[in-house]
Amino acid sequence: MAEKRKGSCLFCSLQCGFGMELDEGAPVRIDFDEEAPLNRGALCARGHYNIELLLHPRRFLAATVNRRRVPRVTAISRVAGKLSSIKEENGGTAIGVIVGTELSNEDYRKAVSFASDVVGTRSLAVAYDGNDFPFLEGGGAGNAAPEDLDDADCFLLVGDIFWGHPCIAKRIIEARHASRSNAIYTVNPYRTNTDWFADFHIKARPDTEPLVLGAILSALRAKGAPKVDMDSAAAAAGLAVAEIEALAADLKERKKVVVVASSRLGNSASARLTALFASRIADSVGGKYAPLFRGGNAIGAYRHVGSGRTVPEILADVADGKIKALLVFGPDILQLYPGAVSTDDLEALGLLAASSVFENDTSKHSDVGLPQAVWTEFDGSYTPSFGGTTSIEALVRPQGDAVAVGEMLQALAAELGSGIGAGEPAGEPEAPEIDVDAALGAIAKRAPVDGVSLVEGTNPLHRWDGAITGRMTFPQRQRPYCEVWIGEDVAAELGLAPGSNVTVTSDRGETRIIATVTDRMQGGLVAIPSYVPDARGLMAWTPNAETRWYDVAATGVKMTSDS
Amino acid sequence: MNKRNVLDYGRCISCKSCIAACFYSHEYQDHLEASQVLTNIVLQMNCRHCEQPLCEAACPREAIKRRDDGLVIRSNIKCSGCTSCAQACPFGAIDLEKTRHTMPKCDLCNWRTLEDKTTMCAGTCTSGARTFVDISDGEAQKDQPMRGARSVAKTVRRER
Repeated sequence: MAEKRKGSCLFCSLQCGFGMELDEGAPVRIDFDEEAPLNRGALCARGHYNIELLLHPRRFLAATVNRRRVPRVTAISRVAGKLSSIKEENGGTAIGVIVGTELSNEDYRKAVSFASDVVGTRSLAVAYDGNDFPFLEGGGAGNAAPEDLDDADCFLLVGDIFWGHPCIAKRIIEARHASRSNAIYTVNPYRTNTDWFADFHIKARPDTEPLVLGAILSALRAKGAPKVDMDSAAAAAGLAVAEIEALAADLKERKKVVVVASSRLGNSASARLTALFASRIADSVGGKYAPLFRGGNAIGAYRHVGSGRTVPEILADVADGKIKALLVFGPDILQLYPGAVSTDDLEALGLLAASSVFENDTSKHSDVGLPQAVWTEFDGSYTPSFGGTTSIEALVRPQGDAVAVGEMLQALAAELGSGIGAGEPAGEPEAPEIDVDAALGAIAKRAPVDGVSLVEGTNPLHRWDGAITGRMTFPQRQRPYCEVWIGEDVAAELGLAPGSNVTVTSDRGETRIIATVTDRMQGGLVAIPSYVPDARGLMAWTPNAETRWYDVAATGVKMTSDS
Repeated sequence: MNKRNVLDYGRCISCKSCIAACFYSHEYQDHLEASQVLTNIVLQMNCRHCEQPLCEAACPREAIKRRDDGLVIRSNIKCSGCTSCAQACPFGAIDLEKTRHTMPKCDLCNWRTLEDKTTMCAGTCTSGARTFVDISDGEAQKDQPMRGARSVAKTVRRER
């Protein structure tokens, strides 16, 4: 008997609603949910992967101990036994817990209770994607509601919003066309698909977005506006100072401005300031601010887990040998932060237990592997980018031995002889103050890179790291599967024909990839696909003590044509 | 039924959600043909469901039929995947790269349109570029070719 049920997608923080047709409990096909408050039925390509995710033949569905399949209870007992002995020898502080950004709010509360009450450790951190963490610290969770997109007369879009989060494109484009005087302003280092629709595109060099946004804030004469050298800001944006001032004046005259911003791989301090200034611009013109994240429940994670410890700090403790046991629920830390932790460090741990939806590099190096259910297989509530709470009821039962992280934690706690509570959310943590003027000064002083510099390219078919989306059939069938976008000037220098292969080399390695020559890219910028591990691995991930996150940059970049 | 898929290239953001929707709802076959025309320009081509379909005339096994309601439908059972229809189609709307032994061919999401729902590609469109509209009003459709040509020209101009 066919039935239709409603679910929500967690491939990004929009948390779009969709329908699923089921036949005797088995998923048949995706349908649309026209009543979904944000997307109103529209669904991006990633949204359609939700059905393949449930039917995928290579899901990780059986628990393992030392790579051998065992019943889940055996694996849980093994983890509990090891945890007990490590805690007895070294204390609870020698245990670290890392969770992903696709857990439900309830599961985050259980993780907090498990870490503090059962294990007795402070080392609980969320593995945010890309620069989501500094972006959250800078601008918080935002205050925009879906309806704000309909009656806005001006949008300031920071980042490739239409390709990163396609399901809000329709509402933004329709609001733009509601009146001739409405406008879309965008800030992007190269011409993205979002910029096609822009009335004015500010081409800020990568990582100089805070300078431009700070200059707008300064021109708005907003309270607490940073001290910005307008000339260096104008140079970073390739504009005249008068143009920045005219833009600020226009924003001030608008009835309703909605600032939508998303982060990109790069300098974490820049990401933090970008979010901070984007939210302040919205405040100062009486508008709304909507930050968009790559992690599906990044806001829920931030509110529930807080920011007591971060992944760079925990992984540094792993490398120093201070942490002897590491529990990883969801993310593939070896691929998510390439080079941030070595396989030798993970192998040296007394216990590495990793749960995941698909077998990955981290679970391959783990002592205990635990299959994890996907978000459509268990009930839970989530916090989306546009306010409110998304409640998801399980569409299907979890397959094989897979269970939700909360259930794994409960079973572990029971094995350890205690229970875990479902405490109240901690609320948005207070982000530590940073010296804004000093950080802006440092950005202004940073010289533009001579020659080729790599910038992350957005792809609508992939979640940024490709850990799940890279396994889906549809994107794999696209030709080419991955490519770098190269400007005509760089291509001419290399003598490169469109569609030919290039070898991209950095201090961290090299990769061979198809080159697409396009006039989108200017000034030696090259957009690389972050969903390809080899391409992402060209960047170095360096911990930043101030932001407590990674600065991601490629140095010593060279390109050679293979033809 | 006189509804057809219409695509406004001026609004398309090239997110490929329509192609993904078609792919997953047709058992992992591309019924919606997509062509890389220029770098980063993807033109998505639906079957037009022609009044005098050349694909029907070319099919040696009579697998393609134009129904009374105007839909040009291919029979899975009769199709042998000989690619005659793909070569006959003047719009290149049938994918030559077949994934099974049959030729993928747009069926206007028959199972949905029978229930008066939109096609998958129109329903999923994230920018509102793709719509499923009634084409029975000839007067209203008169300027469609001109609008189509204009939107393609705009798209090509904005991207190289």
